[in-house]
Amino acid sequence: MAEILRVLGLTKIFKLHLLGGKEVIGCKDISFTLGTGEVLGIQGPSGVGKSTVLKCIYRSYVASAGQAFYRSINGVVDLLQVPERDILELRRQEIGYVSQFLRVVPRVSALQVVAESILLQGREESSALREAGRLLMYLGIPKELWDASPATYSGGQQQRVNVARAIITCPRLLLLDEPTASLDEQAKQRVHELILELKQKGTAVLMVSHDRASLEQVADRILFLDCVGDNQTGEVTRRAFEVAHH
Amino acid sequence: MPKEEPLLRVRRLARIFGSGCSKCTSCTGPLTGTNICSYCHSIVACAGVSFDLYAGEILGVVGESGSGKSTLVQCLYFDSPATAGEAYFKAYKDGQANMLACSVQEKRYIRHHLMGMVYQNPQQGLKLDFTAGGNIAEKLLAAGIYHVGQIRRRAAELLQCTEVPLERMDHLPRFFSGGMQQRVQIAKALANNPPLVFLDEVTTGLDVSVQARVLDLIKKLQRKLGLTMIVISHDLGVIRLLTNRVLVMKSGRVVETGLTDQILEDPQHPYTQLLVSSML
Ligand SMILES: Nc1ncnc2c1ncn2[C@@H]1O[C@H](COP(=O)(O)OP(=O)(O)OP(=O)(O)O)[C@@H](O)[C@H]1O
Ligand SMILES: [Mg+2]
Ligand SMILES: [Zn+2]
Repeated sequence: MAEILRVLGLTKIFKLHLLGGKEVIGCKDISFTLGTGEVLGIQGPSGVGKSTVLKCIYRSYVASAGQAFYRSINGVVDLLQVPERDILELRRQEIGYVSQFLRVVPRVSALQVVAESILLQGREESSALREAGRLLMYLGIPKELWDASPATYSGGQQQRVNVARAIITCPRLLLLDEPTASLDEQAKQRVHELILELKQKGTAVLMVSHDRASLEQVADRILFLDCVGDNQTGEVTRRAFEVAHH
Repeated sequence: MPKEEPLLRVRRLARIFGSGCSKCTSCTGPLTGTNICSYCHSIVACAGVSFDLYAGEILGVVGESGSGKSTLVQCLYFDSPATAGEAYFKAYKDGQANMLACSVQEKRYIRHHLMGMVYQNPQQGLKLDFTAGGNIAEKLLAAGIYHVGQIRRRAAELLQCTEVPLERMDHLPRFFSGGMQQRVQIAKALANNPPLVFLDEVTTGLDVSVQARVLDLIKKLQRKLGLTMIVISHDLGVIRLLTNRVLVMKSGRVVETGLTDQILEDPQHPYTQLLVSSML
């Protein structure tokens, strides 16, 4: 298994100028590696910085320190440093991200939302729509709903659209933030199967989840993020430790 | 990563309204919170603006009213002469010459053949008492296409593309709805397949459902035609929907640039934080 991602000392401190420059720790000194075809679960209490880790790697957040070496098709790059232009290209071609909550584009149909990412890769329209339909079907979204905007969907249905949209490109690196949080058991199983299918094809997956059972099914290893309160100073430090899983 | 040259490189672009003096730029900007020079009372609409734009990219420009967004685009479209700075456009002399310093004829050529513009106010972009088809013809004529049949065919194709019913081709935009006027403007802007298109507050003033349809259209066209665009909007929803990267302007300066999702989710500059938090 070839290493595809190496994160070193990833730290994010938010500086809130509207609150007089108050600093909030997003995540602190996180290090881990990830191989192709590997699923690394990320677990930890609410607010500990799990989403922050994913967002820094995806560059939705500007990391304060650290490195994230990624082996792209064109060689190794530090995702935290490469030009924006290159990040956009990597997102289009290689790196997928499923956010914790779907952000929907008004008026665009679910089918179109899901097909969008492969259309951007240059896939021909009818084949893209067919592929999108196949995924929505597999994830149990009734065909009658495909032409409606996901804005009209239930939370669980929205989350499945979100997953489908990222999975459809078969990315080399997939960042998942609570992909199964609002799903019923059957839909959850389907998502797990899709993740494992991608894993088989060599996709490296980082998956944040509260759901222990979910991680047990799909993760090879689990990274625990934890806060450790210091009673003396009242300061809270964070630590990350890893557990081999399978 | 394979390196490719930007379609447009803008360097230290400035536009000063007024006589200007040596203190103009130092006493204006986000730190002083004004764009009026306290010595000579000139207005520094924008200054020191630099950025790169790549083919296929959509760059957003956000900022409060009066921050210099439209001025920036108007300088690049030669509606308003830049006071200082350079702009290199790959479609013009392969990006080797500063287009802001070229002759009037060359500017006219660039504007008519290589750029398209959609103005906030349809009155600025359309002759409301010319037919819709006539407005499009104007842009085609300016680019040297004189064959009437060819012009009508192209106009029809463009109107279809922007979802304006063909039977409206010979009607006056004055009597069109706001949304349809914007569609005609878009058709006109795209008439000559320009490599670069500017959209200035294209949905402002339209009601929400019409807005959504216009945005949807722009997104579709962008994907189909691989358009490169600069999109001005004070509406962060529009910016989120359409753009890949963003320039944030305040008092005539760019205070922050970044990926669109990063600007919206993790703004760095105090002003951007204020802007984003006030629009959530
Ligand atoms: N954009 C932001 N601006 C300011 N602070 C933020 C921002 N995003 C996250 N934080 C802060 O960073 C810390 C980590 O948040 P994050 O969303 O990463 O937590 P999480 O582990 O994913 O939580 P949950 O499990 O509830 O989803 C929190 O203190 C949060 O308030
Ligand atoms: Mg989270
Ligand atoms: Zn002055």
